[in-house]
Amino acid sequence: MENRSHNVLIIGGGVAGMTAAKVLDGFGVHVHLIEKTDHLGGKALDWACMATDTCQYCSACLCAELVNQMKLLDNAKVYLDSAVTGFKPIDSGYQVTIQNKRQTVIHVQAVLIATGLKIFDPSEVDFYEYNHAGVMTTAELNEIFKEERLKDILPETGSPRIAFIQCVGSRNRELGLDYCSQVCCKVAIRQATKVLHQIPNASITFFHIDLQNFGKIFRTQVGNIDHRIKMVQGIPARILPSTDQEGLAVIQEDPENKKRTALHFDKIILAVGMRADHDNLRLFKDMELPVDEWGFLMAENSSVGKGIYAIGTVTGPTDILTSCEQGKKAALNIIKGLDMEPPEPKKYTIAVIGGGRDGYKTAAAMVQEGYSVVLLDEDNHDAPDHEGITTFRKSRLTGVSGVFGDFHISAKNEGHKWDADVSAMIIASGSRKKPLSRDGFEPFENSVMTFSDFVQKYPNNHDQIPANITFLLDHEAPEWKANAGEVLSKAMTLQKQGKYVTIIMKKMLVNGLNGQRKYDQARKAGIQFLRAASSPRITAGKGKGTINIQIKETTLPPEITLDIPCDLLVVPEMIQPSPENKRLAGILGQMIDEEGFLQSPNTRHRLTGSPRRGVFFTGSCHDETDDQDLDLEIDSIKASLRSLFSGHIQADNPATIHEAKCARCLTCLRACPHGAIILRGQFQPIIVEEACFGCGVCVSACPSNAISQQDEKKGINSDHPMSKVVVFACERSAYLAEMSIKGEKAGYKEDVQVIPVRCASSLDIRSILDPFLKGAEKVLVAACHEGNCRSMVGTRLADTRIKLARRNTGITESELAFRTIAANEPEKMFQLIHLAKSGKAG
Amino acid sequence: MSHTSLVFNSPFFDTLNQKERDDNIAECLTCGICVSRCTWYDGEGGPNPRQMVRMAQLGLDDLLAQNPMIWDCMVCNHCTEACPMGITMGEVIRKARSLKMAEDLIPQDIRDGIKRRLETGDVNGFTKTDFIETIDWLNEEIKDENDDPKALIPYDQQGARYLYLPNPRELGMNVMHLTAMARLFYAFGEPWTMSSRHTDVTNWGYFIGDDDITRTMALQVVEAAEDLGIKTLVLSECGHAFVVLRKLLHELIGRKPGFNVMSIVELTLEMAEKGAIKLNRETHPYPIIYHDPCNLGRKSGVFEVPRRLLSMVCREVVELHPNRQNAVCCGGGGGLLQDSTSLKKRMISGKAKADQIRVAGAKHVATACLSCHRQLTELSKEYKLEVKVDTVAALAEEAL
Repeated sequence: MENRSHNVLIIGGGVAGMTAAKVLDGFGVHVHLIEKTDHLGGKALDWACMATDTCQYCSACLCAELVNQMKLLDNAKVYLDSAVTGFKPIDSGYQVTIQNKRQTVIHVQAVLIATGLKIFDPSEVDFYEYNHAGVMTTAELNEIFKEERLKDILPETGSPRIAFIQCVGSRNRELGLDYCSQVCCKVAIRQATKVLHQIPNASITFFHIDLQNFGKIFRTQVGNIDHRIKMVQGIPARILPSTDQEGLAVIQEDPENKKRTALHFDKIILAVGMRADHDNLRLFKDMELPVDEWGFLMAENSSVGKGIYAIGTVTGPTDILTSCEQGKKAALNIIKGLDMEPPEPKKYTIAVIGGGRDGYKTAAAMVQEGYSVVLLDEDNHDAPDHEGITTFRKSRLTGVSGVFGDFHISAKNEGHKWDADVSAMIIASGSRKKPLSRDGFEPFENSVMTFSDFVQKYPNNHDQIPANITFLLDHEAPEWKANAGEVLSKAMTLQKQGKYVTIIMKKMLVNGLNGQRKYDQARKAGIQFLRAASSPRITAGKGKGTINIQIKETTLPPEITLDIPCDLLVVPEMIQPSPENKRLAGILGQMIDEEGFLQSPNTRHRLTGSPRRGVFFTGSCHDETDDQDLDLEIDSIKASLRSLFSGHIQADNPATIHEAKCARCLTCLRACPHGAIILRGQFQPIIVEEACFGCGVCVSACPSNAISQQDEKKGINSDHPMSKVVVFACERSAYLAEMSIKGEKAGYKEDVQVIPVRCASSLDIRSILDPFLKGAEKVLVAACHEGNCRSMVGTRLADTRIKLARRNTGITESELAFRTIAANEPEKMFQLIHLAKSGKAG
Repeated sequence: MSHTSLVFNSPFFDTLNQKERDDNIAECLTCGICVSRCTWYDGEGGPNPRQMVRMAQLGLDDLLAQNPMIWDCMVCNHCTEACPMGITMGEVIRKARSLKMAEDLIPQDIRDGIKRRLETGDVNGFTKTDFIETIDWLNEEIKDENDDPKALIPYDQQGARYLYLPNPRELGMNVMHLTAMARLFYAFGEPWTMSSRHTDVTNWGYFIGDDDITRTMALQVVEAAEDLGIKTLVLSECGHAFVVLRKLLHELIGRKPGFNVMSIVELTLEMAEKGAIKLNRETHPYPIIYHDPCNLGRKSGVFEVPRRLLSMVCREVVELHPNRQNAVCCGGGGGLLQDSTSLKKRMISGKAKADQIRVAGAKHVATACLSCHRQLTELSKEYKLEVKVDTVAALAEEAL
């Protein structure tokens, strides 16, 4: 297994490359990771933490953690400040010349390209006044956030006026950038949220074309902020430096009266898009790799052929979590390409919960991987029988016990009980489509149908479809990206057959690299797209067509009501979380998110994982996924499973219960956030090493002090005298941030002792108070932001314990403080320590 | 509240939609970029570029053709300069104005001017006799200053090298400009002439988007020039005339004319650069702002020629911000200036320009279009800019 003869070259030390390196390293593959700059991390490391009081799930901090993990890999060699200067196919793969201060020639069997992207430079076009001090990009605002100086750059007046302008360098055919950069709406909305958190009376205007409001938790985040900011559909492409003291001006349509008017701002933030890094084109040419007209590598299933793979933003705009998943997927593909033997997949049974499209596709993929599959279909879908899949229809999951590798699931099938032993579980139970509300359309029942019914009624018999069809993209609910894509494809087919097609929308979701181009082609072909105002609502009446839709079209003068005569109105179903999710989550020991979908939004475990090792999610039960997303999720789970079954993913410091001390009170069982504790014999809890994350929650929770970890108490509860200021820092966040504090600030360390802890929740009250007995004057506990704790409960638990410790002892908050922080917030960490030292920790 | 109905393949929609002609309104992304770029905002009237394109896109032909916005539009293309789909507003608006349904709203002055131009060859109805009387009178004046017969304004001189085609204002309100141009030609030292048969550089057919009228008017010029056998037609400083006679002429009349076309600014620069005339920078020992006329600059790509000439006749050329490709319209484009009822509107449409000039700080403004010249002069008065406005050619003449 540990085969050092396998060598893989990874070009690019960003999140995609690092994730792949980590997985490959686990398989014993010798990884050569080339990075052109002097540090790992890529663009994601430049992003700031977007947390307010709580995590906003931007996932940027994961990059800082990955960078740290690279140091711990056994089989990886990192080449910084390096470039590939020679590339030659040889019999067994490639001979690669790596140039840094010296030249190194290596032989590799596979190459993974993850060289990333460039950010659009607004000075490429001259109408954004980018030289003006008041104009900056989202990337630069990130820097401001990292340096903790937002307040310094805004006027001291009560209500600074800030504008965000979306699609700067995206969705622009004239600039040769006719694709959506995918991440900028999320970035800008989170930045706006963070601005409002720090400056609650800031007045924010958000200019967008079609707010790309989709994906897990993002709809909730937009919903939390959209009433506090002014949303304007329409992006300015001219910033006027004002003649007086009114600041920068842009002209846009006042959404109220459609009059064009000048709006004044103190700061304008340009949401800059991603573009291909053309500096790499020569290398790609030397390597004979296919490049699209934008300069992105054209990878098929992460492969560009001949043992060369490409992932992350070098293949097109991609967010951090997706890049990571692509890294896992590519690593698995590489392993397979190297013909490394899988660890007897037949031995393992995977339970797939959900018999719909997501479930069936997931199950089939697992069978193909060699696993045995038990498919539990809570409804009665008509998925065909498939060799290797044992299907239980109309079955309700009633219980799950055990841990990764040894789960026991029980279910009920119309009164019958059955159970099964499985190694891992994938939840793919889908979402529900709420039937159409016929409000307003009652008299036209025969001319109104849902998109599903439409597709079912007219699979191919398009000649029977009437001439004039109108599709609604949203109806009483926001657009769903998979639906938007399907409607667009359908509309284009119909249009080609001579139908008149109208699409009524609030916004167009242009997901995927080719989404914008598809939308452009649809308009060019003559499909009419209408932007319906939110109010008054769309109505239907009799008119020229069978049915006459009436809307307020937001781009037309306000006094006009637009009639759309048509023969058939196709409405989308409202996609909703399954009402069963809560019950399922309870059985699985998992959370649902604010919208009611399965899986916590916590980025430590997404896209597909969970805090319970061996429990995964795919498809629309947990996230907004189209076919492409689902494929990636499945591939990434395949990679995770292979790593798990190969024994690569283990707790680095599992806890153990000393049975002699154990009172069998089962506090640990209730406390464990990872479901790693099972009962044996007479209620004897034991911790299963394979399932343990080593967080130490159980250690601190155990009333009998019966649980310990191997390398527990590095510096905690030691007998040595302690510094004046003691900082307990979570090793996934605060400690990483502390390590990144720049050299010139090193002096702050005097009289400060920073002690890494596995998780803030591993500190019991005694450990928290102990430094005071050893000479410390101040104690600071620095944990992950709420929502970002890998062990889910750590932040809240630590906060509660500290409050308790203060209450019990009378120690003040300025002496014993609790703060949350992310791995990518070194400046904030510095300030926290500085404040603690100066006596203002509270 | 009015109702209108979405129409597929409306007659107007069907005439458009070619990317090569920049009128591909079907592709409008509704991104709103154009909305942010029209420099006529706030105050009364004014176009909303996106609304206009959308009306065309959605087949609302009547609504568009009968909307005063298409006549408020300055056809300056500033809005669509940044259009991500490459739609050019000027093309869309001119074609909308040419719709039969749009006829009623053509401003009376433009309607009358076109009629006079088609009947008499001059937009003001200036006849051949009027022309000859004016030139003879001017020549009397010139004689008092300069006894060289070559200094006189020649007309109908067969085989002259240059034919100068003036703006009608040079034969009426602003004859001083014509005598200045005559002094320039005198300095060039090459045979030149004017034509009594055709005396008008303008082409208002272009404003109303009527290709037939535009062609007829252009042919009036071409025929007069070809009859005289001149080598180069020299256009007075006029933006839309430059577009029609310099940029579009070949395509418009379907053949190559028998002469070259230059603007007086281009010719003067050529003469200065080859040393045929000497220009004194110290004649204007102060900085002068240059305003890009949209027709000359953004629409024809002539940015540097007038700047180079201006830099030879004053201490420093001051740039407005933004300029060149992204320059702001004076507020009188698209026929707005030619409508005598538009003064109030033009003072709103030109506010952005006035702001620009105020920020630039200099007290002199030069441009290379007599329409811009008049609008800028009126803006200076309205907004108390206290700037003196000249044309580049006129300043060059002063610097001889």
